[in-house]
Amino acid sequence: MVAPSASAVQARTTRRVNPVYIVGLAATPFLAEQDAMPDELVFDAVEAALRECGLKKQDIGMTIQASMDALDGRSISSGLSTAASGGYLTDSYRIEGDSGRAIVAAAESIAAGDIEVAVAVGVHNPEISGDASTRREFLQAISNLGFEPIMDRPIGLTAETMWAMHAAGRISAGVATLDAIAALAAGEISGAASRPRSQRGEATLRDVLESAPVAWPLVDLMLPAQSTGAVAVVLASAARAGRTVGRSARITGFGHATGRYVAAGGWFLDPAATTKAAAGQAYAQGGVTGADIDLVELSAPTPALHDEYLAALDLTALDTANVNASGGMLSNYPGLANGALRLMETVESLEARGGKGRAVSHSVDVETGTVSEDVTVLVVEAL
Amino acid sequence: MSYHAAVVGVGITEATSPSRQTKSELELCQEAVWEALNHGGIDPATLDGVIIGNIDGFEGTVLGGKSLTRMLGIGMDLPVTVINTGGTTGGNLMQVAARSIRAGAQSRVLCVGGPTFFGSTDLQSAINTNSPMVIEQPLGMGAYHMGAFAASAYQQRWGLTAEDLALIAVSDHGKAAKNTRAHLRYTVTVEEVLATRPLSSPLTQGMVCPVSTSAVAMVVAAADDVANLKTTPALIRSIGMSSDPYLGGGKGDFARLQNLENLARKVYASANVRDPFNDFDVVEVFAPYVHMQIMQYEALGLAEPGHGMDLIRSGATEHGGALPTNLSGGPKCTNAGVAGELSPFAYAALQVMGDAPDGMQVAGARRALAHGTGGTFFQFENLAVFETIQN
Repeated sequence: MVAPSASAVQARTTRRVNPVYIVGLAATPFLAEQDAMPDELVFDAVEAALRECGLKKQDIGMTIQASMDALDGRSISSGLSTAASGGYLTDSYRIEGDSGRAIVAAAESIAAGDIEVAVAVGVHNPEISGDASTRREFLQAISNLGFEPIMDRPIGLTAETMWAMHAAGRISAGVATLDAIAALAAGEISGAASRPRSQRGEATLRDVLESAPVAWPLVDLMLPAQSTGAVAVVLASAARAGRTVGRSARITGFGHATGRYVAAGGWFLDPAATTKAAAGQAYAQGGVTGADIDLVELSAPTPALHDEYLAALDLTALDTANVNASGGMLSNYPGLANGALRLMETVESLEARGGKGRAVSHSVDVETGTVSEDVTVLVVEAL
Repeated sequence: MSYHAAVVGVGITEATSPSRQTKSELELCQEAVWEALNHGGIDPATLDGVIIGNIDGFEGTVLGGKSLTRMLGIGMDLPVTVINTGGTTGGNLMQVAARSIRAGAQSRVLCVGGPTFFGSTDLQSAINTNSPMVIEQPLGMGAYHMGAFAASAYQQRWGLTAEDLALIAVSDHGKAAKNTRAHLRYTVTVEEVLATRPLSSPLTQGMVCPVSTSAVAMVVAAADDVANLKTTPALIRSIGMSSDPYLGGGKGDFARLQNLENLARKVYASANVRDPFNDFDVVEVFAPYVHMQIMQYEALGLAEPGHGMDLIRSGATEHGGALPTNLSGGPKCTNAGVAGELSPFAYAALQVMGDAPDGMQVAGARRALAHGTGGTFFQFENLAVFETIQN
């Protein structure tokens, strides 16, 4: 027997799935640091999401959390926060990864016919205090622990070093310029600077280029705008959603893919292949192509990845106004809550269009950068 | 439309202590994964994803599955999901896989449980970081201490003796001695168990699980996608999980597993199980401490409250008894973390597939119950009911 190719994996996963309805979405405030424990943030977000759709704890059939022990500073940290997520005496578990994956898992439980109402919640409040550089140092130390311990960890691989090597490679190859990626960052940040969830004010090209260097060519304003908080999503079956107030959107396709590890080289040569695989699955399930999509919330951790990810989603034809109206990760990145935040921004953009259209919500985890990158793609329809 | 899910391949490595283990974590996982694939005659090209458990605080790494899964020899592009719910992680793996398959999102999913405790030097200290930080953490409380609360409460209510508790360990060791995959493959006497090192009254070293290293893998597939496989699939008839509140004070009663009682009612209703003692042919429960085993029997409706011990004394739970239980020897003889937690599901599935290891197969087993649990004062519980599908 031989190892399968990526296309073989994708070709098998083309069954249509039952659509899953988004009935509640809520977030805590996004702050540099929270004066709250993870369970308090989870409770606040879930309670608000349930309240907006008129459901109660007793209506929940399953809760899925996205968090990580290493960030939460305790083993089995979900033990603390499960009850806060609504998981008391209920099906519940925790994914160590981005909340986009938790949303996919919750949607699968409903599409399977097993559950009527499910909650997916991502929480990010790293157990570290201090200034931005202290917090960055902590996150990169955790990132390093995500690499293979014999060969890769000792040479200092982290998410930021992998992103920097990718960006440097694109500049060296002449397919990108420093000014171009800086301009893209400035555009995303400034376009969303007035939005309430944005963590950054307006930034010019010069502001970006003169921000604190991190790893050449990347500087601070080219990297995710770190924040903390929690975002909760309440999903329901079509039948249950029909008797629920709240959001008017549904997920018709959900894709999940994970990239190759370091030695395979994909993280450098073609990091968008993972996004393409996830999109392929989601689009096949939803019966759509890129031409059917009106807007996207894209998760590009650096501007050097932006165009590659957009192309992998088959969405290069979209008007720039319909790509990352929120400013994406460069305006607000609440860690593992990112997937849920991107879905929230997606649904709100559809609502701003009068509740019409079809969108894509794309999220990535950043634990090991583009290495073994975990990607989720959701096809979202307004109702 | 939704679908049925079934276990179609299982791999379980031999186990030993971390100090005697000659294979790496990767080698153990590779061995289990390829045994599962070969068991079912499954081409890895037909897999759609991997669900793996990593309990970071115990493993000395973060999301180890991200790199490990790429070195298993099954391809480099499979979607990987990392689950961590502590001691119940292994049991959750299959449930996550099953729901994805039942949704139609995937057709074949590999579950991998590795040797979580390979590099740990002080597991009690690691689990202490999970406990409440005002009282329990500074006191240095670990799993033994919190587990002993329930053992003492049960003793007080039902008059259980230390000899009774030791007899539970004796029974498990007798079964493990016949399981070539078990870690502690020796028999013990009541006196020997009682003479082991005291941990937290009434528990002694011989009454709790060892620290093992092994790996377990399982392939879950859509039940309509099993043609040409070598195995008789184990239909996942019903699954479920349930969670306690975090603080011990929320449990209500330390002498009962109310959370598991609630879960059992839900799962049994879904599987149309009305008389659990007679409706199951074989049972595997995850009871790393002796008292948990009899409390679980009661919560699962296999015995009346206070009478779990009678099941063991009567021989009903032995091979050839009315309800063979933990024929693997259970976690008191082998507990490799996520691998140990996936084991009850693997062994129970093997029973209804007719492929349990030599000397363990219950003749004609067609319906099995598997249980997993984990936590400290709180417990996450999970259950699955397997039934034979004739290919």
